[in-house]
Amino acid sequence: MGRDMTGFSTVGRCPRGRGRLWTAAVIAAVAMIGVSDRISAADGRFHGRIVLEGQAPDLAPLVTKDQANVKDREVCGAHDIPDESLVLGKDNGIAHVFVFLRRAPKGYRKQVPQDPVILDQKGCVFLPHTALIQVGQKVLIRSSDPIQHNVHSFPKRNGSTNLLIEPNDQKGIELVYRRAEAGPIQVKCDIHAWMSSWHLVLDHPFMAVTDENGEFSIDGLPPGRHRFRVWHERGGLLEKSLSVTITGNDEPVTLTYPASKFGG
Amino acid sequence: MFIFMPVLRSRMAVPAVSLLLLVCVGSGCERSVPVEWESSELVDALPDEQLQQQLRDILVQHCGTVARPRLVTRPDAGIEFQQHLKHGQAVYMKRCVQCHGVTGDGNGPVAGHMYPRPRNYTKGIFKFTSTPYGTRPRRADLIRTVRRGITGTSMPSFDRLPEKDLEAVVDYVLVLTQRGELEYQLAMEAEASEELDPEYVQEYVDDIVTGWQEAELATTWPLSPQPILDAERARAGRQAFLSKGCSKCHGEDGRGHTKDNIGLDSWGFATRAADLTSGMLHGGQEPLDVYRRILNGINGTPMPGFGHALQSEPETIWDLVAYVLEVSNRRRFGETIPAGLIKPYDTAARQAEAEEP
Ligand code: HEC
Ligand code: HEC
Repeated sequence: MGRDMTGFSTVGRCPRGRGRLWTAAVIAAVAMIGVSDRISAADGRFHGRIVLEGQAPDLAPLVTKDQANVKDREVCGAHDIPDESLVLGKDNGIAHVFVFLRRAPKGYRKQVPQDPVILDQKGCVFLPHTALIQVGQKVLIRSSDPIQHNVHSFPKRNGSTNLLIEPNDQKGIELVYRRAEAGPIQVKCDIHAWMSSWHLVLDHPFMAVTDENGEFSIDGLPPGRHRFRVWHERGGLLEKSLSVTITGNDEPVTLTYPASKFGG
Repeated sequence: MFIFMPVLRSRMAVPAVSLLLLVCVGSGCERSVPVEWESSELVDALPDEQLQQQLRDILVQHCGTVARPRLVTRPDAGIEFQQHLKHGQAVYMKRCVQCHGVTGDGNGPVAGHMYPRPRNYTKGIFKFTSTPYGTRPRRADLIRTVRRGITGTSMPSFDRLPEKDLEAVVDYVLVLTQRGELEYQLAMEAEASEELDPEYVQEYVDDIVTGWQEAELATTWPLSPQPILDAERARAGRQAFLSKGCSKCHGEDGRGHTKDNIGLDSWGFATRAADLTSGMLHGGQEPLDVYRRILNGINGTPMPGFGHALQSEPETIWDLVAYVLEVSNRRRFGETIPAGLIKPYDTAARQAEAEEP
């Protein structure tokens, strides 16, 4: 560990899962607010920013414009394709970091979102680069490129998928995951081997992925202690069991990780 | 043929693992069988020894032991089935273990330099199936594969094996497979949750049962009846091969000898798009075999399924089958095919390269 806590008393760290909770203030407040036991009424929120400390590694584009021997050059070589395995925003906020509870809090009743998650492919890049998906929710895979792609997923619990997607297939194909995964899974295109994206599939909505400035928010949490996992494709499992006490009146937190974790 | 030496990593906590007992097959006692299956590295890596032990106990409960193997999908099988599995084990220890390993992890003593590597069963993934990508195979798929072998790889044909032995060895492969599946899921659960809640354990067991049951009902069939696969079909197939995306991995000549033709399979090994001209189709020579490779893709590998993409033009799949069979047979008819073509994929890139000083 050996680095500063980020100053918010609701955050504690468990170095080895079962380890002790470092700080867990304001638990008393929970009782006083008198939160309803119905989870739908929960307004606890785990939110904040994830920040890189130090010098980020310099990542060359995966494909440069007009690169000679790139496959499907007229589409994939039309522009630089940036390496999205580490994307930094304002004040070194890290994008595409997953923050999630492995299992839903007790009492949570499952509600599958109606709207599908859309996975598009444009300019030989997966859009979005990271996605949050719930078990049972539809995932619509489509393509806005005039060339073929294949969408190949590497889940650890669900069956994997590997489908060829026709050029400009806007109708797309629907997938549904049946089981929660233990962590984010990779989705790739083997034809264009640099194309990679990450999906987190859980059987509850208590997950978030940081935006372009490293900000995240998980809403609707019942008050009490929760253990979050924090994962990034370069950094790996940054937190295996980040213990956080949610009160319903939650201040934003800042989680800081050294550049060395990301190959910096 | 092979000198088999059981390779058992020494295990601090479980000295019993290194005890051996002899099993007799047919004519004599030939192979030694360890008393216990080894744990996977994932299990060994769990920091909590008690949790490790709990996990091993759960595995024994559902998959039995080397002395009394069990199928997760047949929890209440009687003594007769038990004997059948023991027979399968004896056949396995005689004919398969040197490649596929005692626990079925594909790490047998002679597996080292094979490409492709002997199948690691413990992921539950098999390539040459009649079922859709991402699902388990049917038992009949495995029996067919073991009987005819996998041409062009080290996997031999066992067509001389008596029916009884074949059925038994495949069921024993299923024991190892399902044990591997359960062990992997439990290890991930234990790693993530630091406990093994019986409720979740049951869910994992149920998933395995459901997966294998569903596969039995998931046979895929051609979207349109098989036409006569003549030269005209093959010509149309060549066009489709170039326009539908096949050439992007297999190269325009189907040889797959292109420099960026390299991917990862689900077992963690490098794999290349097949050289379709080699005359040795791994997944079988029958039109239906090739059709299924194209329709479903090849499980665990980058070869994608074209069932969705070609849904509205099912005849194209037959054209492709005709073409694949034609290229695959060329060499047999004495035609030589230039080797090692390494070239960029699209015409624009080729021109660009030609223009480069
Ligand atoms: C000389 C080594 C060798 C021996 C002996 C051997 N195999 Fe294999 N086996 C392989 C290889 C290599 C593969 C992988 C081929 C591939 O990936 O295309 C394989 C694959 C398999 C598969 C997977 C098929 C699929 O669809 O994925 C099964 C099942 C199998 N073997 C069963 C057996 C059984 C049963 C025996 C004993 C009766 C046996 N093998 C003996 C080398 C061997
Ligand atoms: C994304 C890359 C990719 C694309 C696109 C692709 N293939 Fe493949 N194909 C592979 C790979 C990789 C393998 C080898 C799988 C393995 O490891 O056994 C393969 C194997 C095959 C095989 C099995 C060969 C055998 O030995 O049995 C056939 C047949 C085949 N491909 C046909 C096609 C056809 C026809 C198309 C177009 C409709 C196509 N492929 C498109 C990557 C691809």
